[in-house]
Amino acid sequence: MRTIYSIAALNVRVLCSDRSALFWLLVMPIAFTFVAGIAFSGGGGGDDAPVRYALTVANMDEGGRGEELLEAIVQSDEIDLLMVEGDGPDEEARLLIEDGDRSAALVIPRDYSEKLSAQDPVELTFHRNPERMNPLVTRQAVERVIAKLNAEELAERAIVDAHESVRGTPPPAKELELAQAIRAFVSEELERPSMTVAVERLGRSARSEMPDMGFQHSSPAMALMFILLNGLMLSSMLVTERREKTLARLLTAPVRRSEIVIANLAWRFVVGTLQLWFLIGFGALAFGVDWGDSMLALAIVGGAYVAAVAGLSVLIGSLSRSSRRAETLSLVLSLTMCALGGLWWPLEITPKAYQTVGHFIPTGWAMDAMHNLMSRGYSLSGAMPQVLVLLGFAVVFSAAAVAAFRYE
Amino acid sequence: MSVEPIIRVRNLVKRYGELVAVDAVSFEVAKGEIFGLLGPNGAGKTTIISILSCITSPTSGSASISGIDVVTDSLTARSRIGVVPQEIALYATLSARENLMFWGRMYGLRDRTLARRVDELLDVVQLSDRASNRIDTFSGGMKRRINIAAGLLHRPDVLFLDEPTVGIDPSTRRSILDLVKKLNTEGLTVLYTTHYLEEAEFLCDRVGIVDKGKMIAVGTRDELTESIGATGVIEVRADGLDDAVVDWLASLPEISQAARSDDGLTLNVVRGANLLPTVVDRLTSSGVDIHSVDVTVPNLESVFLHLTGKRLDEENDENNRRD
Repeated sequence: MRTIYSIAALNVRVLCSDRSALFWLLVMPIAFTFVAGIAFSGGGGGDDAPVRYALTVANMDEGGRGEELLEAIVQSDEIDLLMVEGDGPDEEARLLIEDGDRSAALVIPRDYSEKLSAQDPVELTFHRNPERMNPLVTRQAVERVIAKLNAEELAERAIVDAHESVRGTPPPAKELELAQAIRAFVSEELERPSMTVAVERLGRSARSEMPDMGFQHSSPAMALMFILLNGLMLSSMLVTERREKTLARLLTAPVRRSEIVIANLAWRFVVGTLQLWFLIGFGALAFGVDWGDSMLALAIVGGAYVAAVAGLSVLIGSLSRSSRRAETLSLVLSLTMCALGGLWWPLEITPKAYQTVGHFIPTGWAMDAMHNLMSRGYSLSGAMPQVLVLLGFAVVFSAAAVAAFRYE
Repeated sequence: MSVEPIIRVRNLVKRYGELVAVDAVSFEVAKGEIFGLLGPNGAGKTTIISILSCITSPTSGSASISGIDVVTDSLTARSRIGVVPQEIALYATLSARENLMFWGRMYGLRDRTLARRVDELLDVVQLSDRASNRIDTFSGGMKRRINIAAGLLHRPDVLFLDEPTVGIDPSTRRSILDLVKKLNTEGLTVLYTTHYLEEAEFLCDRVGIVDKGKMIAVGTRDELTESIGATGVIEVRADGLDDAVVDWLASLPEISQAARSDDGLTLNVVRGANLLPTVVDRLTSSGVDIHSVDVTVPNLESVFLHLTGKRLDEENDENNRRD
């Protein structure tokens, strides 16, 4: 055991003597986490400015109520109107959406004002391009404005009807006065509704601030990516040891071959684990990342993943004839596994076949486990299938590494 | 040999497929001796050392260190030997002290015993003042000395030195040879492989000559030179030599061996103190342009020439070309 410790400690010391390796182990993951976190943090437009969406409008209304509607939509601060003018604007608006030139359009019919005045039901037409996402947001914004206008309209009718039943039909001036008063009242009341739902967060994660969703994704993803990238790059150290004959020299000392192999797996595991906890700690303190409810579960998931990476690293080092080949193979494998395993984008947004391929490699399972712990609120039992698969990868890679291990 | 040998090798064979790298080699090394394995590159010296160091298993035969079989009890055997490989097998980015501490731990040394031994050896190799410097800042000679120190930490019964002077300058080579001599005078047994005749002659109490995997002769320098029956060696540096004149010289009863090299001719002389004028006359009358003629006593080169029909440096060149 002391021999294994001595060999492992020596390799860690050799690694620490290489400043560029330390840079890649500690600094680069933080830099990438920061950049990716900012990129995924949402917002856009900067300076907390609300996002505004474009809505194409064909206003054919022959009265003034259509204009009122559009003014209310503009005041919602969510939508910019793109007006379609000329003959047949409804048809032109429809074609713009159909051809994919615009994503959403609202058509106000000719008899909009007339029907509203006659208290008849009126129907607006909303065209949307199903391939675009923003029409959903635009439609919700339009519906919110219409709901508000409907509420005002209903309240106005109710107050006029009530006046008629008690005091008779009001004179036009009085009717106008009543209508303006009730609309102002409704508008004001809708700003401070009488019924609301208060959401209270309880337990360990209760904080005044929600964690930044950008860092919530980028921190585990970049941690897994750099543990993989650095872990596999360490394979070249095994090639260097073979080239410089220090491995062969170890065989002339009273050291068992199994001790040398175990030490090579062990020190890679230790380095990966230290890197993992450094990044977890930094993510929590600097970026406010919520790593889930169970540190034990996180440790077990991380440990299983690091063990798989350590086994693969020794396997690559054993199979490669030169440091350059080991580094090239490590780089290609790392980047491929990051892309396929959902470390750069969620697997959930990829096609089914892509998701299946992502689960042939450790990164897919590790990211799943991280999501289960961090986003879905699972405990260790919820991540156990992923842990078992990762341990399976660790056993297979390590066994192959032992079989392929070469000293000269 | 009257005392129990530290190294005993019996009919050692190592095959790699069809290639026989070591062919029924037997020899013994006594305690306190410097034993040299002399032979051209590719002769099988390193394979013999690899078997004795427990890195490679023999195909057949046996080998023991201090009575311990290197195959059946390799872990114990390895604790009795110190190995200095041909390459600088050290961690280049670590300091001399860190390297020695590590290799000491591999031999079971710990704590104060280890630290004391490291200090002693840094002193022996005269690098105490550079103990904290990284190996990759050292000169070739300094690296070689630390390489040797790493094999001595656990006070081995025997030290294996596998061509430790390959590729280094003459003054560094001399300092390495002096260090080995010094260690030997302090009681260390040494098995030293080399393809340099002068190193074997300078260092070794006894020499085993290896060629094409076979041990073709074993003995002290005197025993080996006497065994060829030569009383002198004539070395001629000349241009214009042809096979006819060399064959004529080789046919003389006073000459036991004649071998050409790139720059001349070597003749092993068995008798006849007045042979030199005959040789010179014959060469000049054949149109050979003589640059110099040396008459020396027989040496290991003469022995190698006698046994193989080739000069050792010639065989080295040939093997290097083949490699």
